[in-house]
Amino acid sequence: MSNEELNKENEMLEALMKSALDNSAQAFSVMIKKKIDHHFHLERFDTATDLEDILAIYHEGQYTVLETKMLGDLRGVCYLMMEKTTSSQIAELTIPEFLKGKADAGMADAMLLELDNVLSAATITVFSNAMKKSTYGGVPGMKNLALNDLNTLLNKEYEKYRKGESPSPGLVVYAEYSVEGVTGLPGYVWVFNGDFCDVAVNQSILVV
Amino acid sequence: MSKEEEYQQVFLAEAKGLDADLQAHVAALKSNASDKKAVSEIFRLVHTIKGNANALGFSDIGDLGEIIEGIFAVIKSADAPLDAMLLGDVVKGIEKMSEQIHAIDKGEKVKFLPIKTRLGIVLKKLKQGDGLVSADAPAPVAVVEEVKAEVVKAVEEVKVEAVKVEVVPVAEAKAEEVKTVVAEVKVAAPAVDKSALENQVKQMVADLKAAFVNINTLRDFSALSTALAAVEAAGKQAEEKGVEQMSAAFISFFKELNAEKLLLNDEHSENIDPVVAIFEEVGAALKTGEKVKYVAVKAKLGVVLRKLKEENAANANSGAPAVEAPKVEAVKVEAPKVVAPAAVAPKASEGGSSSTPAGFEDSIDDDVKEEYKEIFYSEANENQEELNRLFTKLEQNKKNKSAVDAIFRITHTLKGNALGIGLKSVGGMAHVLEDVFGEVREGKLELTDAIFKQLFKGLDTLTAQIQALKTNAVVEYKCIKGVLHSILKGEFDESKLVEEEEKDEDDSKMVFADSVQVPVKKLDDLMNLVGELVIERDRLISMVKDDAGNKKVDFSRFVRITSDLQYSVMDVRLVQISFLFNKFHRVVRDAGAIEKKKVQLELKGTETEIDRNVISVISDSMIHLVRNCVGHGIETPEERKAAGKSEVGTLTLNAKNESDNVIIQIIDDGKGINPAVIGRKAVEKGLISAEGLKSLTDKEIIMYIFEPGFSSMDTVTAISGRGVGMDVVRKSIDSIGGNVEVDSVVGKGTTITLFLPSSMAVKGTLLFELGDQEYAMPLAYTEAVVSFKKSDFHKVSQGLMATYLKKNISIVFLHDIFNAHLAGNRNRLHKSFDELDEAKQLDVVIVAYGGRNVGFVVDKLLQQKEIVEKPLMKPVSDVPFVSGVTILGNGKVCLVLNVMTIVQHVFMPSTRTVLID
Repeated sequence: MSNEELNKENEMLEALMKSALDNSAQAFSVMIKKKIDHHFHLERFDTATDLEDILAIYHEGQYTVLETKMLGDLRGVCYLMMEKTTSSQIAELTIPEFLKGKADAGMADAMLLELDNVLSAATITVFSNAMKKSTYGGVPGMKNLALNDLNTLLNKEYEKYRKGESPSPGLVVYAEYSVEGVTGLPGYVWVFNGDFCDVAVNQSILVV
Repeated sequence: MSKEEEYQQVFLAEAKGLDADLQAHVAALKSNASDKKAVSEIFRLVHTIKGNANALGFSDIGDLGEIIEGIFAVIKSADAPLDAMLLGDVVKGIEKMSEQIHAIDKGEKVKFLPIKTRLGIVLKKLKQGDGLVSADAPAPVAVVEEVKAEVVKAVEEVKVEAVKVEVVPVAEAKAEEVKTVVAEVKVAAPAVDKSALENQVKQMVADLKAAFVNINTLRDFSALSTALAAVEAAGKQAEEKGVEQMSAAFISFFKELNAEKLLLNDEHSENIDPVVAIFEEVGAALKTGEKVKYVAVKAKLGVVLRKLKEENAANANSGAPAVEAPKVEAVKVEAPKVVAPAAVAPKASEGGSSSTPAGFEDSIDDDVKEEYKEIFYSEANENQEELNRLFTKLEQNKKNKSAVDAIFRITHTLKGNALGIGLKSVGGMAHVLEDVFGEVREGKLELTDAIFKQLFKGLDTLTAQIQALKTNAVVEYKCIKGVLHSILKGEFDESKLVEEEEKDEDDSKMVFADSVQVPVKKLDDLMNLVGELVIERDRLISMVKDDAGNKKVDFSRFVRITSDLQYSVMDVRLVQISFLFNKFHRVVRDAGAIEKKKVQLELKGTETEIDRNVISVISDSMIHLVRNCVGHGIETPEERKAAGKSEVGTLTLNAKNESDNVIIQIIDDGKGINPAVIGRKAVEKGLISAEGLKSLTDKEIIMYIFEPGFSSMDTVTAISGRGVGMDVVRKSIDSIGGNVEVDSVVGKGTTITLFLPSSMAVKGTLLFELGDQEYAMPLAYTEAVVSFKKSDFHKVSQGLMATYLKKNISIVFLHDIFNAHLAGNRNRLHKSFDELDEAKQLDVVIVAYGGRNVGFVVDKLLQQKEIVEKPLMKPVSDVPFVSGVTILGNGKVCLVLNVMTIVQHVFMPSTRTVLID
């Protein structure tokens, strides 16, 4: 694939991702009743270095990592990554008013899982609609990891997703949400294989 | 050196100088976030670097510089320091820019998008007023502040909890302990001095010792963890690694205990007490500056954890409860629950384990297990189909890396999913396949034909195991698993291979997963009911007339709704033809392997939709046709080479919609069908006379391959040439009102075209009258309706002929066929003709079937109508010429004609003999 073709494809993928992440930011905002912004960038890749680059901007510390797999016709995986204090702040925002003060850590975790569920569903819905494919999110999972372990996990999972049947390079999308009143920036990584890119480029009705 | 290069060199030299200054100011800012001079200088330097970089085309540096500049512009104008966490990000951005500058020399490109993304959002945040520390607040120590807030909150909750559980003395005592810690943290926060930290550690050690006194009842570690977090933070701030790491070790120890629901007992004191003692030493050493070895603490706590886990596992195996039920007293005296993020509550998902449904725990009820199994089955079915396709693809090109990767990935997923829900045998089989492809991926194992045979067997076994989830059948898999293991170990001996056995017919029987959530039977019932509703509707409408005797039009909405309902139900039954086509990758591969032919399969029009019942009916026929194409059509590689063709034959399955029909074409580029050979065989088998053969076109001759007992193959092979296939194919296609055509060019290939109804539920028919009875003729066979006069017909032998579109066709008066009294009469087909008035206009329905056109003379044409056909029930189920019945709007029963049997009857040699005799 020539650079020009790749750039063209990337433009289309960017339009699709923007639409999907806009939707997720909106869902996020509704859930926690705060203003949410997001920035993202995407990269096509053949090696794991792209993920290492992403994690290079992370500080040492403990992270709450929420993982959801995209299943069905399209495959991919996403990670919502937050520094521990950030995840506590976000969890606090997700807990309904009447439960505040009564909720325990289990409730906070449950709400974070639900948040991840909502974000991935909002994103996947856009993919599904734009590409006319039957796809859905799996059950979200949660881990608490040190930066080093997070790196290992992402690289391991990434290996599973980066290659599809298509010779097209895979895709990593890295987004960050800015939550009003919360200092930390929840990071959101999506990893797709080349098959996803092929479908996105050839079949999607882009919601630009 | 060109001018441009010269400028770049100047820029580089200057940028490196600016960068050195920049780093110095960044260092200053790091030590004091409120350093206004540093902020101004950084802003100025970044601005200069950005401008120069953009001017010389280093847009990456320019892009990043612009955002950093923007951030510092906000900090400058707000006159407030940046939040510590965000400052870290900005520093990383500046470091990245420095990296970019230094990479220019080496001609390298530095990836900077992640940090650009982050800084972009930091800038946005700053512009919204977030992320800056208010000017009057002291520079924050973020972590300690966080912990403080959490602990204060925790204390409040302790009080609430204490009232609730009415264990005031204990709870308050604990609350007091925590309060003390809070007070110390508060004191320590602004500037932790060594003696304060020493006191904190001392207190912590005392807390730990106190807690471990009641080691048998100690179950809630949240208060301890909270306090430890505070000590850890203080240790970090004071840069006392010993304190920090000791606290961290205990925090993670308690976290594990919580997550695993493990209970400590007296036996563990011998391992825990020394650790507490080391902690004490670490605290004491703060004053003296002595070095204390604390590296062993993690190991010691690890030993406790391991022992506890082993005990737990042993209890579980012995059927004893995994965790000792807490005693009532223990609950009463346990520490009240303190909620804080650092105090980790028990949760299965923590401690590095995922909360995805990784396994069937006892706590999961049967319904959920069944649901997981259902999900697994549905996914696994998709996976095995995909694996079949990929295996076939890989076999054709054993160097196909993407196929190897994809197989590895799928088997890995399959393994994980299966083991996750406790399907060990499926998981085991997928595991060994994954291992084999892992080796192939790494280039340690080369795929040979012999290995492929075993891999296919492995895949078949895996498929059988997956299917057995529904049937509960026992699948033997250890043998093939052993063979695959021997491949992995490099002990696989090809010479010991048993020849591939001829596949049992049943093996290729297709299995259709009921992915339609409503059983098809229910859909059929629903369709029947809708059919009756439509019939009843028509009857009602025909009955209700206004005073003038005209039909009322008030029913238009009713008609529309019922029609919509009818088509909606029909739609539900439609599935994509890919559902069927995708199963042919394996069929073609197997047929090719047995026949030793190289064949590639191409699929086209896979999105075409067709009634699921049609697929069920034609799937076996399709297998016959495809196998015949491979067996009879495609030549061996040698023959193909000699004929100047590529060694690999191509078989194409093509589907498309045409009006109400779905057309499926099976196209091969093989040797074609030789009409001369077919004709000779037909004469030899007595299917036609040599003279009769001369009057037939090549296409008509080729259609004899569908006659019962016909086989042109001189030798019967494993998969074709038994002569029992093609007539069955036609019968099954006829049974659903379909049609088949064959076009072939010798040496070029053959195209078999199946005309199938897209839905079996509703039939488009032409209604006509014969005598006083109404009949329906399926439109699928109706080519035209023409008007003739008696003079247009000519007697030829015992039959009648007419010219239609410059072609001679047989004409039959349906009266003559249906009139039982005429059976055996040699002039039977002339009867109606002879009695006919010369001037009468005759309605003739031209029917096309089996490559032949026949004109049926009827009394009166009525209308074209879609009907819901009901099969004939016993005892009239075997009436010839009639395939079913329907009820018309006027309430009359209408017979649906079976065109196939009528045409066959007309052209059957025996009929002809009777006629000729």
